[in-house]
Amino acid sequence: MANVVRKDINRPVSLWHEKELFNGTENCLTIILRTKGCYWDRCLMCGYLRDADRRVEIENLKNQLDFALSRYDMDFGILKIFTSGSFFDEREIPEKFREYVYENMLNSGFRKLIVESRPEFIKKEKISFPSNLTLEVGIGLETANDFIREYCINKGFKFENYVNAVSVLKEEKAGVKTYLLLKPPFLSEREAIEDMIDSARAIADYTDVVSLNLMNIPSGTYLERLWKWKLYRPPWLWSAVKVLKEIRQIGLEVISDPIAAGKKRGPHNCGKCDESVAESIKNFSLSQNIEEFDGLRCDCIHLWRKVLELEDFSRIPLVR
Amino acid sequence: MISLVKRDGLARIANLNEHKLPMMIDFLDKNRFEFIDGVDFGYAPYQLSFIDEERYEILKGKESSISVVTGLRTLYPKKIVETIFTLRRRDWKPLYATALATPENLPLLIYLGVDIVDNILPIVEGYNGIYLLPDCRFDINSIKEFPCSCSVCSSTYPEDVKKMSYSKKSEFIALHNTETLENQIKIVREQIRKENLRNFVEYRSKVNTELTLMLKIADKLIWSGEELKKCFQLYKRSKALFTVPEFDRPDVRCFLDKSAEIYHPVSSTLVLLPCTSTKPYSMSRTHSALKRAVQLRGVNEIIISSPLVSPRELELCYPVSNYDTTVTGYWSADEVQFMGEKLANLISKGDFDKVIGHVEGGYRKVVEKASEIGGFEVTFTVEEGILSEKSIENLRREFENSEGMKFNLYEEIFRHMVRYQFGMELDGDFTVKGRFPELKLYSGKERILRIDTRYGMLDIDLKFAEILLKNRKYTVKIDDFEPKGTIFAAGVIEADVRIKPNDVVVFFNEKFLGTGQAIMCGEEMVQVDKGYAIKIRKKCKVNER
Repeated sequence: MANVVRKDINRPVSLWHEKELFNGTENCLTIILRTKGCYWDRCLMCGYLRDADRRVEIENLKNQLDFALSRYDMDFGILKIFTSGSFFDEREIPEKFREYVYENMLNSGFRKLIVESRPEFIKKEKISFPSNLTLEVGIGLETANDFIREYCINKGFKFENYVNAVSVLKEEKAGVKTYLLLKPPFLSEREAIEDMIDSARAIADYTDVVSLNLMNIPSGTYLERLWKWKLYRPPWLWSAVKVLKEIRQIGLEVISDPIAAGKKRGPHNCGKCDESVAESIKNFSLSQNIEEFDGLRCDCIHLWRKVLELEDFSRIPLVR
Repeated sequence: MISLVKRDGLARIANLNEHKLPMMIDFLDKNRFEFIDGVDFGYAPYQLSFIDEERYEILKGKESSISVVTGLRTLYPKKIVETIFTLRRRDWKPLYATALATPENLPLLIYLGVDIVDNILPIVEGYNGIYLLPDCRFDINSIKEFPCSCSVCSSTYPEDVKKMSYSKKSEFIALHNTETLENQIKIVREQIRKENLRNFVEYRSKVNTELTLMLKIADKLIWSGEELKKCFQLYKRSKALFTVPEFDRPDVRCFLDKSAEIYHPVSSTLVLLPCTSTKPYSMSRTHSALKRAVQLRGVNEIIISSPLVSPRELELCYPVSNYDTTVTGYWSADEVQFMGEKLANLISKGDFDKVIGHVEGGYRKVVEKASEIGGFEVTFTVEEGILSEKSIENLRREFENSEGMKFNLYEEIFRHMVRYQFGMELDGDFTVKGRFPELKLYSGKERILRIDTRYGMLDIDLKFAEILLKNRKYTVKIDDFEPKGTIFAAGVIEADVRIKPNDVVVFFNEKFLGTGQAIMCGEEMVQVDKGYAIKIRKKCKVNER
């Protein structure tokens, strides 16, 4: 057949470099590995399974990593490996490959590894890693509210599972990054903000860093259907700014990468101010200084304030 | 708790605590509406029930004394109507549709049975710079002079508003839009009091194809089941205005079906006549001139109009007694077909040897269509106008050549109206007194019925009330108390489910018997705990009769 591009299982889904905070800012290599995919695959907003491929075996994973490590001629301190699933799920990432990662990255001069996993795979025996490596594990808690996580996201685990996973990581001296999700479906804009601030307070004693994900709409998802029915709108960037400020003021380190900001499928304001607000969010993530948000100004903030008042009652987005 | 004051179809005026329904919740001044805090709006909008019912059941708002429906705005117009009706059929609770009302659609929403709306869309439109009026909308920047004299608009000038900051300007338009919507609610309440909401909604829907569509869908749905029909009055004080032939209007459909069911002509000769703008038809210049020229005695008559055809016997019955239609002289093929079918249907109820069509133009087309459908011959008598010498001569000649049948038209009027209104036969010897159309029926010396020309129905006397009671028709059993003025729903024990608002009913308990006019439907009187059920007209002690 013509026009069919097969996924290359020996290449990562995506690859880039960026700056990360680690004793000051350092170069970070980020790899999105192509794996067999997340076993859960039921979250309402998840479109990552599109990148997965059931044919992927350990040899292919090794080829992907080798390709990535040799790609850039730069000095890196940090390696980020995302699988769109769980780094500690044996079905996705065999133990042998994890060892391969630790060995090769240390040989290439990396000192810190950042991965992601669902809490059910964070077990003492699974997460052992070399002592000269700093490990940070991201957990997609999304919200501290069990009801919202269960029924608005369909995440399939509870807050107490997260707490248990964190205590395992602490024992093993690994860092904890907690993902919070701004605006799951069915929450009004105001409820979404409140949910984030409540969640940040609830996890303040457990997490080292908060990563605030601003909802965007991948194609082929349940969330996309809601969006097409005009029952969902991604969060306003003003909401993100408010949440970041408040979480920072709790005393937490909080970062956010506004993916697809300004696009209709991503977090957005009115279209005029999106770029500058997104920029200040990126700057804040590096500096942790809430003054980055000073001086942001746009008429649409008044409309956003009205939306906060009214969407509790309309239960559907009032503004595109 | 909700307490009904007045019903007009699915729309109603009612008291809800200190508020009067239909009402608007003002989100610019939310503190005035404390009860909102006790309402659970849930997480998911109602729409989710169409996509994922299981999840909706978990995420919907909890039951409360008010039914809330959210998210309807993004549905197709047809689905909006269906959804409102689904909820309306469920119970008598106040129905609140959030973020749906605009000044444009408000009358229709209330007509469909929504009790509570809010100004969420008018506020958001304000922030979009859209200035709303009842039947149009403007971009604020294009306005040269305010086409509105509300308190907001009279306080300033467009050029000053345009100079305001975005937030001030938005707030200004939101206030104006809110006042416009609130004003529409007041107008709608008055229309309900006048029992005129249907006419008003029909006219207001015309400016918007979506609203017209919704009204048409509503007509189809109301007619297809009993549950909603029961709220629509058969008899009204307001004139039925058929601006465009609307064959599916509840009042039209009801009359056409019911009249064909009960029509019982006695003569072997039938005359078909055109309608007149004066009602009742008999009082018109045309019909009375015809009657003067030709003795229209001993024959049955059917009057053709659009969208109604009516036997002479029912000309005092609503809506025939009180309607207006636009007579252009042009009849569409649909109209000819529809009216032809209905006419053929009526004619088939009789045993006529001769059918005379004293009609011309479009009316004649309808008769020709009916004769084609019914397979009967028609003799046409009009040449050069209904009242021309030739036409009258033709009609007179046909009369002399046909057999009549002696019958008393006024008595037949009562027989037909009793059949129409109560679904039973009038039995015994009677005399008709009074001057048309204010006719009264006597049994011996006692009056038993009279024509109520305000509503186009029969009003009953206590003697007839006893007959209805014996037949268990249109009866309401009330608690053990002496009723005075108004009977409230709380005092009703049992009610005939056939009862619709405005119907004449008989109420009774061990000690008292009386007649009155229903304000609610029968089912509603029994099911709700508060509100006006019956306005009393006559009553007596049972042992004194």
